[in-house]
Amino acid sequence: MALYLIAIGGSGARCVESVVHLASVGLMSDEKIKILFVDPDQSNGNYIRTCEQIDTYNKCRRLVWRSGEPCQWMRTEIVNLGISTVGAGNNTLADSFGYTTMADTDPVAMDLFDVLYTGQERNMNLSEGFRGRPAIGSAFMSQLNFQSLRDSRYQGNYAEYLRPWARLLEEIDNAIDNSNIKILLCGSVFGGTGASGLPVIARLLDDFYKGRGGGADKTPRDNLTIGSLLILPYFGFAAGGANVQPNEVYARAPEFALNTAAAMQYYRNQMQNVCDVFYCIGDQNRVEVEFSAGGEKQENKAHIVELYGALAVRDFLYLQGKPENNEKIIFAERRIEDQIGWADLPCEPSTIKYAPVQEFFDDPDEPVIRHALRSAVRFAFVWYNTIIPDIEEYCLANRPKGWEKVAQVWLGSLFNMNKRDTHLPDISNPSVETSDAYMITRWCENFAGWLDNLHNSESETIKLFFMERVTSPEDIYFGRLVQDDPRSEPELDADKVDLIKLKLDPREEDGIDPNQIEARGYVGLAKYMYIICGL
Amino acid sequence: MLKIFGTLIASLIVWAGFIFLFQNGTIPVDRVGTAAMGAWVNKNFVPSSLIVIFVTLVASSIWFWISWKQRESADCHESVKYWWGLLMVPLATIALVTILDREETKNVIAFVMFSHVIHVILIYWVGTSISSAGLAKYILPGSRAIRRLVSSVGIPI
Repeated sequence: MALYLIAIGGSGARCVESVVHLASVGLMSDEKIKILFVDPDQSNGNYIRTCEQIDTYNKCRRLVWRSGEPCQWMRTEIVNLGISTVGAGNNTLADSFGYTTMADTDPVAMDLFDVLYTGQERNMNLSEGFRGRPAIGSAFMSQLNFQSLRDSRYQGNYAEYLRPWARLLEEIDNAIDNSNIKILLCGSVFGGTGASGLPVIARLLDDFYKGRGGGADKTPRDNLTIGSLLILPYFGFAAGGANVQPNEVYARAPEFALNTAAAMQYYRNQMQNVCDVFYCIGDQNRVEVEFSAGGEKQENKAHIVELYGALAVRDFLYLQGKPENNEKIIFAERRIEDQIGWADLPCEPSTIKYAPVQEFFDDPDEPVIRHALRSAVRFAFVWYNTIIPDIEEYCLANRPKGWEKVAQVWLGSLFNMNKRDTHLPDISNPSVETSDAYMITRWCENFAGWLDNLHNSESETIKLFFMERVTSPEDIYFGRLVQDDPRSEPELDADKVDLIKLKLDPREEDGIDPNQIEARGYVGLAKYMYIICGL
Repeated sequence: MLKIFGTLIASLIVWAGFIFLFQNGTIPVDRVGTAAMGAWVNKNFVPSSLIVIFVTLVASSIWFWISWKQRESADCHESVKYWWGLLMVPLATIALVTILDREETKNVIAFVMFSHVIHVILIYWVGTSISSAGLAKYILPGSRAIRRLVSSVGIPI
């Protein structure tokens, strides 16, 4: 069974980025996560960045899982079903709905159209999305006709924006009679695409699966759990200075609160019977982002709210059945107004096991989310700052002979080093694209970059890691990367990168078990190091 | 450190073998009679050997201490220069005792020096190679081969 995550708009895409990173540290389950993006603006920078992250993740995951043994690191398979650019390709709303001919064909509809949409909205260029106007987006979203896809057995020559839907619905149709399916829709309630797409698509899916039973007592909808991850306002921007005409239609930050209030009222009154679970996440300390009407420039840094969004996805993934009568409300809040630390991350039910795959990842003394993120940060630090630069220098013949002899201790069990003519014969330059190490290093860059963005919020202090140390090449910080580390000072001092290397030696008392992981070379090195860094 | 004492025992066994070879005349020393031979061994060979063994043991212990401190450092290979420096101490001692004893041992000087060098090889080279720990275990010359050889005869290292 898979989780289907429908990411709507820029905020939805940004949450997916955090989902990818939580999946990479092993915080999602062994179930596949299949992602469908909905955004008319295919050139949206947030979407493009997220797709790049998924691509790197999948390439790295293929490497890590190549040898087959289970691994906490990157345990979840993420499938990108593609983007549904519903609404794209239409120059204006008026063009799309034939407004100019309505006067002759359907004057009543034209009057209704005039009531619903202003002249500016009717005639604005839609090439960069719905520009913070959910009413426009809803008009397009409601044109998604799932039934016609099913009627054609998902084999028709569909428009490009329908193909991801056909794939998603066909998969669900094939599985829903025998298993429970989960669909989580994720998007903002205050913008354009998310606010328009989320309620409409949720309702379309609800109707689609309720209707399939033909009025029978039991419908496929009973096997379907629909969740909504509603992103409330957490950023703002000033359009002043941007290249926008004063009377042009675009998203306006001051309207976010009003939009949100209206949206939440709608969800309360109209959506409670449509969705089984709701997650609402926002931040009153809004970060200022650079204004962009859309396109590639609409690329915002990762934000802590998106981490919470990804944790909501994790919660939904582990949800056992549907909550009954919408009676359960889980409420999480920060302890200090302008600060978020480990204690503010949501606790989770004890039924969620972090490591059903490999028990040695479990640390009963540490909350799972912290444990998983800490392990990954430590690994990324050692790999990116120490191991790879070290080997790279060796490959460039910038290391003395003595370095090889020390390296034999920690690389000897993973690389063939027994040939007399040359040492470390199997080691390729890790900075070369064909090297296995290259993709792992790219993942480290992405992961550290994402985490750095989370911490770089101007509106509040994020106290999870000391990011200036994580991104520093100084080994001395290795033991002191995590904020509020409960270990004693001598323990922090003793936590050194060289000790990680020493543990790679199977002959050491606390060294690795060479039979635990089959992979050798860079992949084996990374997998063993990931384990060691988590201990 | 226990491993260094292990090589000390091996060295003493070899040393006892040399004493036996000198006393029964297998290695002919220019002395007449068993008593005179015993006196030469006691007066010349034993003291010079003990001095060499003691100095070599001290040098090995110093290296052990240096390498133990460096065992968790990836830069430990830089301390090999101390190993070469410490090696000079027992070699200088061999040279010194040989010069001091040259009149008494001139026709077996090669055998006596060979015996002293074996002490240095066993206690210092083999001893330090198998006792260097952590990341420093392969930094000494030939230590990988020595470790393989020692473990191949069933001695755990």
